[in-house]
Amino acid sequence: MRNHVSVTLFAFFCILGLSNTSMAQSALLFDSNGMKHFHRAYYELVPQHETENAAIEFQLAEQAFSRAIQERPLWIEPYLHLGRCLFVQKKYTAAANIFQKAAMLAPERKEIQLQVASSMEMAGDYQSALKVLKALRNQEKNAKATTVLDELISKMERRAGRK
Amino acid sequence: MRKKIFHLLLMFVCLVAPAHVAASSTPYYHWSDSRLFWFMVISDTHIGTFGSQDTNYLQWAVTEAKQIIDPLFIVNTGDLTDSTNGGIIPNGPYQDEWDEYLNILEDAGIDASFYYDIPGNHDAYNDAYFAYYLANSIQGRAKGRCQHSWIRQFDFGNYLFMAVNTAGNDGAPFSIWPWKNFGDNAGLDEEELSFIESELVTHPDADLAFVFGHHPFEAGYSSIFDTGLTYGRQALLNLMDEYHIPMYGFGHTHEYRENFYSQDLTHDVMYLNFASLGKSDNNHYTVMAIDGNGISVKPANAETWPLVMITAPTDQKLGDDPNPLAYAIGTGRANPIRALIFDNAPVINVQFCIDKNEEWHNMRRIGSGPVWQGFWNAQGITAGFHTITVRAIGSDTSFDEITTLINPSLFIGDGDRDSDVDGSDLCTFSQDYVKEIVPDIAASYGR
Repeated sequence: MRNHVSVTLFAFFCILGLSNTSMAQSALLFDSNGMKHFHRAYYELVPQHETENAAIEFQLAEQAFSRAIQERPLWIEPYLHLGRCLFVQKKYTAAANIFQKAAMLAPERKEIQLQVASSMEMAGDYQSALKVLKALRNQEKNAKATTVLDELISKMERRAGRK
Repeated sequence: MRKKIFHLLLMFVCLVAPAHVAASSTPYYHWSDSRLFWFMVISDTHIGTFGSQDTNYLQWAVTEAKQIIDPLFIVNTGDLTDSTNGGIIPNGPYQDEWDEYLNILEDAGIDASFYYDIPGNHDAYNDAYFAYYLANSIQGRAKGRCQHSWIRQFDFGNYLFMAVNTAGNDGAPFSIWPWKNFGDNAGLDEEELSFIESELVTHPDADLAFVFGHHPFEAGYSSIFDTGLTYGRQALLNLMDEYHIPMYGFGHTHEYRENFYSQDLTHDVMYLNFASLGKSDNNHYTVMAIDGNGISVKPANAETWPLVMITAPTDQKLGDDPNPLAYAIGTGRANPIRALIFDNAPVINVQFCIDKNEEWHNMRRIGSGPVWQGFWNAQGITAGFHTITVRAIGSDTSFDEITTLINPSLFIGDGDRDSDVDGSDLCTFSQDYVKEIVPDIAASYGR
């Protein structure tokens, strides 16, 4: 009886493992496919003013990145790629939301916070951008980075004041 | 009588002397403006930045300034666009910024035979392919590459210009963290260095070669936040040394500064940092002139006239440093003082004075161009440094001031640069005749 339970559990975890591996692989494929569409749109079509074709490619990229996230929700890369894809299409609020999710997955990656702030700024939400920058500033230990952050905060405050 | 004999002698030697002029990169004091040309340098246009200075000044530079200065060409040393679309964090590239950049230039009739633009770090963020630069810059569109060279040939010499891509090739985003390539990852890789070397090898006859890039050789040149070359620096310096390149010009810091760079070099290199047209408060653009292979530099503010620039003799000082590329002059009866005067209104009067003594001597305009020339009787002037000031009165009154070095053992007249004044020099002089110089040329004949 005990042996039987062990075998069943082993089989269950094997299937779970295989399923996870397969999901990880398909997430990788979706993400890589998304990058192909993104590159074609952003680096080939947009600079050539082929905006309609670029829009189609961007949409395909968004779909692929979203599927990758669905398949492997704890993997950060497709979030970053989707965020960037939304950002360059000037869908700044949506980009900020995705970057925020990415930041929650990898709080140690401070550069993602900068992307959150940047998206918020471009969306015109200066107060939220300021909050993110100030939080980043409070955590920062490096003197060079804190000086740049102080400058960014000061500029953002001026923008917020003008609004 | 003496003048007559001289003229007869002049005619005789012209018939028998070879007209060949040997090429040399050594600067020399020439009697006329026939070996003078000039060009404009702008940098850090940052199209797309907050406000309107970026677009207003670029438009002004390629319309009014271009028309009045009439440069041989314009160099733009990068950060063509801001990559912020008016925001505070560079996160582009933005096609809107590039469209604005190109529209300004195309509306002004600018093309690739006249305008040499290279990418800076702001043009390279998030774009490892330089796709936006290649599709939207004047040179990128025309040549399909990020580095450029051009040669200007005259009967007095050939001049090679190179604009190299010092921006990072990794497409890394803007970073504020030192461990993630703070600012950018600037440098010159093997392919980029190979381009520079092949151009130098292809043009061994160039009298002078100039290199323009976006970044300083080293980080922290103007402030601790300025980035510099992180790879390829030593290889570039080796090339500059090997081929005796006298000047490296760059932007990036938004500060104007004249300096000499000597670290890891056997000869000093003129190290010119151009301010930003789109963001700096002053020194928005620079005019550079080559007169008898002597290099003169003059920064100026946009929309401000007249611009006065002394091109001969060359300035003994560059910024706060002595200028090893300047020549000393003799105590001639008619030492030429030449200046370029650019103004958007007629220039009424141009004069020079020596050692700020307030004795102003008139200068004459040569033809209908911007070159003015006066003659300084330097006989009896003591050896050593003296100040020359040129004052131009036009739409406003402007000055330029240089320091010259008097060496009484020197003489004018060695037009072919072979260290003597003989028949071939007189032949050159006859083709390029300046009446005021005749006594000095006659006096130096046979030396």
